[in-house]
Amino acid sequence: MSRNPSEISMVLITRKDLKLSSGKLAAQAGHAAVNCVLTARKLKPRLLEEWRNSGSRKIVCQVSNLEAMKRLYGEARELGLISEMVKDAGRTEIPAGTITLLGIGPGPRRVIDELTGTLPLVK
Amino acid sequence: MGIRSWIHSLTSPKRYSESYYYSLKKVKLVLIVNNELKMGKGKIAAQVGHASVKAALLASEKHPAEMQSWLSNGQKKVVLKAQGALELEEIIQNAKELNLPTCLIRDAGKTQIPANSLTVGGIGPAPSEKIDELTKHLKLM
Repeated sequence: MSRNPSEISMVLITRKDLKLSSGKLAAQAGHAAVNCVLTARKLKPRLLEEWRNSGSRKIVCQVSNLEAMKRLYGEARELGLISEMVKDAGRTEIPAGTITLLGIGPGPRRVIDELTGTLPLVK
Repeated sequence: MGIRSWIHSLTSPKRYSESYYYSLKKVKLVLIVNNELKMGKGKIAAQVGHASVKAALLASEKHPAEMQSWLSNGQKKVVLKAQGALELEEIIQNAKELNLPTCLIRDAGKTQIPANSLTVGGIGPAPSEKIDELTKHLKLM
C-alpha cells in the first residue's frame, strides 16, 4: 500500500467496553460517517471532495472506554479536525444516550494518524 | 383564502401527494451486507459507513424531502444481510424499479477481500413501508 503523506482519511472509533454486535457497530459507523461528511460539506467542501475522489479511506479502530474517547475528541477538536460523537437513541441493545462512536475526519492522514495511529483496529 | 393564494394553490407545482407526505414521517435507510464475503466486524462497519455517506449525499441532491425528514428523525438505519452478491444485486435492482434511491459499494480490495467485490447495497432514505416490501425477508445483521 502506498503511503501518500497528503492522503485524506477518516477514522471511526468505537468503544471496546460496549461490546456492540457487528450490525449495531455498522449502523453507528454509518451514522458517524454521515455526520462527519455533512459537517465537512459545510466547513471544508474542498477537503470532502478530495477525500471522495481518492476513494473515501475509512478506518475503524477502538478505544477502551468513554473517557478515552472523550479525550480523543477534545484533542481532535484542538487540532482543528472535524470530529463528531454519536449518541444512540437506545431503541436496541444499549441504553438511550450512550455515546457509541467517534468519527474523526475527513482530514489529512498525517495529522489523524498522530492521534489514532496507535489504536488497535477492529478486526 | 385570499384570491392570490387561491390562484397560487391552483398553479403551484404539486410534487407529492398528501399520503406521500404522511409516509415521509417514517423514513429509513437500509444497508444490506453481502454475507458470503465473511468480512470482519470493522470491515463491515467501514463498508456500511461508505454506503451511508454515498446514500446521504445522493439523497440530498436528488431527494431533499426524504433526506430532510431522515435527518430530523434521527437518521434511522437498519443493517441487514444477504446471502450473496446475486441476491443483493437483485434486491437493489427491484428497488431501482420502484424508483427508490439505491447505491452499491464495491471494495478497492486493499484488505481482507478480493478487489471489486460487492460488499454493501443501500436503499433509502425512503419511506419505511416501501423498503419493507423488498427487504422484509432478510435477517438483521
